[in-house]
Amino acid sequence: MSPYFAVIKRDLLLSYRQGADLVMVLAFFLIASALFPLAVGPDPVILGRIASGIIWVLALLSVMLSLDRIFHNDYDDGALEQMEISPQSFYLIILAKIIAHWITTGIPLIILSPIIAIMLNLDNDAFITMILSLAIGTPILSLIGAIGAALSLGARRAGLLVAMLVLPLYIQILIFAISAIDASINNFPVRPHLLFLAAILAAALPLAPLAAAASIRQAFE
Amino acid sequence: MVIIDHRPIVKLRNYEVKKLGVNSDMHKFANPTRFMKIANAIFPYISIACIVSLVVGIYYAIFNSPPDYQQGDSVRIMYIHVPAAYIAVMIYMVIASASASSLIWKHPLSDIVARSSAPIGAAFTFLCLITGALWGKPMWGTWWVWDARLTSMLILFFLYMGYMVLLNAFDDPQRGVKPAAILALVGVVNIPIIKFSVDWWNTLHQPASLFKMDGPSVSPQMLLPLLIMIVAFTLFYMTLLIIRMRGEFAAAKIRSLYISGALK
Amino acid sequence: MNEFIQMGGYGLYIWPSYLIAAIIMAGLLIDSITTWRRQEKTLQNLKLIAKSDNVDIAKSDNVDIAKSDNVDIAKSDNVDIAKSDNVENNEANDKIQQKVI
Repeated sequence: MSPYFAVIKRDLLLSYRQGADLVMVLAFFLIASALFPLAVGPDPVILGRIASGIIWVLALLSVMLSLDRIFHNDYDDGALEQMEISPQSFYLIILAKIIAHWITTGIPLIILSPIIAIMLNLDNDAFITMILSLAIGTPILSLIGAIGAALSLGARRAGLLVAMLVLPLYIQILIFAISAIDASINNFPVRPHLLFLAAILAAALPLAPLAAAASIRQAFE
Repeated sequence: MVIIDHRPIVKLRNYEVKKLGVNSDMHKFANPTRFMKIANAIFPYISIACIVSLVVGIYYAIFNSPPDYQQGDSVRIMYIHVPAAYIAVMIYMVIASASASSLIWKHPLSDIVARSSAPIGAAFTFLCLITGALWGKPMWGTWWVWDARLTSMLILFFLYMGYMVLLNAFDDPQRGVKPAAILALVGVVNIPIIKFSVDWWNTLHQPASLFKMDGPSVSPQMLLPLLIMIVAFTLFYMTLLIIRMRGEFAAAKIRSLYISGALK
Repeated sequence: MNEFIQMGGYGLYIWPSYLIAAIIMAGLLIDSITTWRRQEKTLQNLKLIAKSDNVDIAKSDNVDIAKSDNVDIAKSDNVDIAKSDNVENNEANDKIQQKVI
């Protein structure tokens, strides 16, 4: 177990030292969410109706922007290759990297989201559901995003490419999360929607590192 | 400069795979030249059958089928929309199977089939979406609605786009083949969503009426042109596939001419 | 005739559908055929070039490179290194040169 914890610790240490990366993701989340009241007008009713959508779309975009941190830096300086030929299970190393990515990107998003929700006048009933949907949803975003990041190793314009690859797969998660939050606003049961999200997480957790590991392996052939 | 050479390990794996698969039936078609000979032999029949079925299908669709009692004449769009949707999904399954075959068995023809099919599938998905909008405006009163089936067909379109972009995203043209194959397999999760979305969610799009457990529930007079058009589109796909594969083989020969150093 | 074009009021939607279908399918066909023709033409041209040049290239260029360049480099560099640096460095340099593709 401990080599994989070592990988998590390494990635956390690296992102702690390059603190600017983490701050940039949160700053983007905050600033972009400030764009919407300016664009749509400050009417609290309108803002309240689209608040859940704004938060989730911005969470999607923030995770997408931070995806190049998972593999590209290690690919460029050869550390990823060393991890691939090491005797440890590459699949678990990838999983450890994804966990570290979620800790440095997903958790700050979850923590920042209530502030954004207050700014955007989200319905009071929806707060808990929004935090829960982000808590279940952001690991899925990291998992599927890792597949996109792995596929685009060494490509031209990797950032845009990752966006193109990953957004179609993100759309389904977005739909389930938003339906959960909408259900809580309209006093429908929230559990089924959150269970769907959890089911997607349960499916992505074993399968996504598999696809990512296969992509990285063929990038080194 | 020291370069770490991974190739011995990979070659070992390749060698093992070759030993296992050498006598199986599938590898009869693995020889590209033989495959192209067979394809060129059946090409005239397929293209003529395609033209005939297209003409017959369109004749039936426009002149010889009844208007729907509810939807009137606009149901004639169905004879384009439904076959296009069927072909779009079928081509994606072909690409996914070819990708799996290319990744698992390293079948040499698979990535050529996948690469050639992608633009055809994308075009038919686009056609499905456009004809769907043209059908929806008079029927539902709106060009577009974000219900489950339309959204998942749109996702299919994005997946095709992403697949084609990924194929060409690398400076080395052959480098994009394997990532694109992995992407095609990852996107297969969308296909059951397309198929069952009209059952799982309350949608504006009508439920399944063709591929159901107890048989199609479309009237026979409409079923015949529909099936003819599906066959016609399938034959059209096969014709285009053979033409595109010829182009891909020529491109592969050009590449190998350069690599073998016959040209400077 | 007019009734046929109107199609019970839906003609505005039906005919563009069929038209777009025809355009897309024709476009696919034309694109496939022109790509194929273009690749075949390039292939034929390159094959002609390869046939006409091959004899000259194989003999003149390759032989010159093999003899003139490599031998000079091999002799000049190694001798310098052997004399100026350590013997260990020389062995390391040999191993590296063996691995260079």
